[in-house]
Amino acid sequence: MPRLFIDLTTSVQWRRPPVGIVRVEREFAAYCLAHEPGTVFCEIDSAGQYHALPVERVRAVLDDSWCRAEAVATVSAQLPVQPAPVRGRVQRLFDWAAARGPKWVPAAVYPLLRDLGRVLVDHHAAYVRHQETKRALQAAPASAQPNDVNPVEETPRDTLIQPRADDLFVSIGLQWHHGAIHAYRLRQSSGVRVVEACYDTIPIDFPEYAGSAKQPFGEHFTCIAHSASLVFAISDTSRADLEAFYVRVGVLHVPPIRTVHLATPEVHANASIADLADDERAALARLRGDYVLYVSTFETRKNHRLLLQVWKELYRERGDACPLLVVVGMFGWGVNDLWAEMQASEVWAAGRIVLLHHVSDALLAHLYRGCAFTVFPSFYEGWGLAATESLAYGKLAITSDAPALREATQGLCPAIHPLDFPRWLQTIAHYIDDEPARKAIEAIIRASYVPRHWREFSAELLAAAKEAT
Amino acid sequence: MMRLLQLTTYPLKAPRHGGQLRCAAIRECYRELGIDVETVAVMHEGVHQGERERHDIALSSSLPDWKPELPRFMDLHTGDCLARSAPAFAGFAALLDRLQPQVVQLEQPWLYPAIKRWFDERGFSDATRPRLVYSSQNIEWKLKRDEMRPDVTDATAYAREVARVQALEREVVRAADLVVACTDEERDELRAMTDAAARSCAYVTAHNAIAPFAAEPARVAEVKRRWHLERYALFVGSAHPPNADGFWCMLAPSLAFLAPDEKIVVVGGVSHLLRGHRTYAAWPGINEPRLALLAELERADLVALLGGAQVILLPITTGGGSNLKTAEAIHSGRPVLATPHALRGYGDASRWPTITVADTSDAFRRGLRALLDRPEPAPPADYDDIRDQVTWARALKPLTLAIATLAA
Repeated sequence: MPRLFIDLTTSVQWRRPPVGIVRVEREFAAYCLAHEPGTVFCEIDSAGQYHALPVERVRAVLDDSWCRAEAVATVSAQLPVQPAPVRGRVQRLFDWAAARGPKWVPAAVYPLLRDLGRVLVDHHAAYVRHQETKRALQAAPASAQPNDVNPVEETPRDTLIQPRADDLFVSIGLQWHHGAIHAYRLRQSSGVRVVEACYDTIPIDFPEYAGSAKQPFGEHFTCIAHSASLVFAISDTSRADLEAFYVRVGVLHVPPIRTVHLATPEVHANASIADLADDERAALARLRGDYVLYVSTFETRKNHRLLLQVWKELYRERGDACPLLVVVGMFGWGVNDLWAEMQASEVWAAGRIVLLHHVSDALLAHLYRGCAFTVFPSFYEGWGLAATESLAYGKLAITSDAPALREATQGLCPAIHPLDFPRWLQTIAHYIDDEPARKAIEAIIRASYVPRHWREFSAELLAAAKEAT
Repeated sequence: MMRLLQLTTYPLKAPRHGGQLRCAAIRECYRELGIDVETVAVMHEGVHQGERERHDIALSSSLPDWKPELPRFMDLHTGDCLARSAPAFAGFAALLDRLQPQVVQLEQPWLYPAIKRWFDERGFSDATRPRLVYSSQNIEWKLKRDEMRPDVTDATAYAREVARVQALEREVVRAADLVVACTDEERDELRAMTDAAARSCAYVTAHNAIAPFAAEPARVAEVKRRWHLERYALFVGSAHPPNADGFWCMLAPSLAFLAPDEKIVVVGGVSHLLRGHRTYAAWPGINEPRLALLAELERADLVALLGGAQVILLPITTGGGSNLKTAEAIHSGRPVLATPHALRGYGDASRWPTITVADTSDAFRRGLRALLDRPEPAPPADYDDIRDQVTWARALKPLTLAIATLAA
């Protein structure tokens, strides 16, 4: 009987509210813990070896409390925030090193250094903003602080896994961070069938929009081409993009790539305001009147710039009648100049744009339920969980025409080119002003949108994995 | 005893590149025949310092015929400087007067203007003139033409120099008593440079070859340990830009077809060129971990790497002559993956048991993949005769016969 091994490294190391990829690993692992007796969960060590995790540790990791939620932070014109530095010392250091020429640094390393320097400087800027937000939170009531997570002992190091050739090893977390080479070596030494994931190839196809460096990402997907018995892609778009990448770099034996659509995030239809923490209620109370919601990391690919331009125009036209734009998500990569522009704008000064960080699922449910509609103008996506979440709440999502967003929203939403400012302005204004039109499209969504549970996703992925040869 | 003067544009004291190795092998072969061979290498004073032999001549960098803006023609300009500079030529002529060669062998055509001037000034008759051997290594003008880089600063000047090389080559062939080529094709092409009415001249082919070598198992194991190698392909090449072009042309678009723990080991000056190529630069994250760039190595290490290679690559797409690296790869007895161009001058080598031929990038990459995937092949039986065919002793046999005839 083939055994199932699941690499849980990403989930073990992730102690914040889960982003999409972390969510996928956790949901799949939870499903297998419940439905696949004998599943071995494991974690990689610093030497690149996989150790089995005791089941009680697996349960602790998969418990919601593992992903500790921080108190919600509201950033708007009312809260002072220092402008982020445009260039950091780290970037200048790499520029200086590159300028020394081949004498010190081989020419080939320049692009890698520049990538790395860029990533580091933006992560540093994000860190600075995070610290500022934290300082803002210090004024919040003590009840808003997260509960301490019970300490869980580290994984014992005497439990190396020893899969056989007919076993399955599923590794679908942040593998480019942990190193896909280790799964390759495991396969080389044991013959185990390996299942890997492709969420998107954005760092390769759109390096200008990605926080991850192009070259390591390219090597990551090249490595899994040599190790995977199956690659699961979260959309037909991602599958096609990965296939195109393999053609582009000349991989000769492309592994089977199968689309398994992600689930729709869980709908908290009955969440009560009374159940929210004080800080969450306070944040919600600030959102008076109609507001438009964008749930997304604040980064360049997500095209917040377009929304800023639209909201500037709406504010110029409508003044105080301008609706509120609520942006939910962490500060990400490549937005230093946008952030500066946003803070200098009149619409920001008027408090018509609000950023919310560390939003819990419960608060998010209220935000979806209370919004007029949602927007998703991203330049490119591998899927679009937030857009599907909007539909699950019965809310209209105006999306960009990125192929994966069309796929994820099942063709039920207006799709506009991410650079077509006039159409975005016109469409947003239309759905703000024309409530009957909004209700009509919401009715269509409620009648037509087919949500998908994590259970279905996990079962389909597991079945596909078992078929891998 | 026949006195033979061998003229080159590089010293033979420590031969490394193909031209040096060929000239040194010919000299050695002549000496074994009992010929009194003296070599005079003429070169710019800034190159090959510390490698010169007693008759070698270093030309001053202040001579007016150097053209630094056309570095690919330094050999042509060496001949110009020697023939046109009064003090340089005087020293050269005095040396030749002293050596009194019966045969002058030009290795490549570059120094012919100086020899012609010496012949003319000494007033030799046809009967008394030393016999002239033109030992070619390529069809030089075609090679120069093909080596022109897209970023050359003055294409007109470059083309003018190519035309001068073509004229020089034709002139040397017409003046020679014996013409030696590296391949039959080039021999025929050189023969076609003379008209039917030209005086009699002999033509022979002496393909490139190598000195016999054998890899010691202990040394093979040691180099594998030293560079953490398991299964690897080996590519050996000098810092000649077409070597890098050929490598990336045949392995493009990237090395992604190699597994993460597979490497192409690169030995020689071409190691310094591969990272500067645009194909490398498109995917450095993929290419870098699959390359082991070892640059110049001791001969013993190179032989060990040849002996341990899963496959030896010959991705040669341009150039004339026949390739010493091809002979080396064939002689090793290891599997060889070659372009058809790499096998020119080696007859029916494409049918030899260790050779796989691929003429497109796709076929080359698939061929390499297949050779890396298959189990370690047993050494081919009856391989000694093939090995022997690529040694200098066998390759230079036609030349020794022709020289003996010329002397008679």
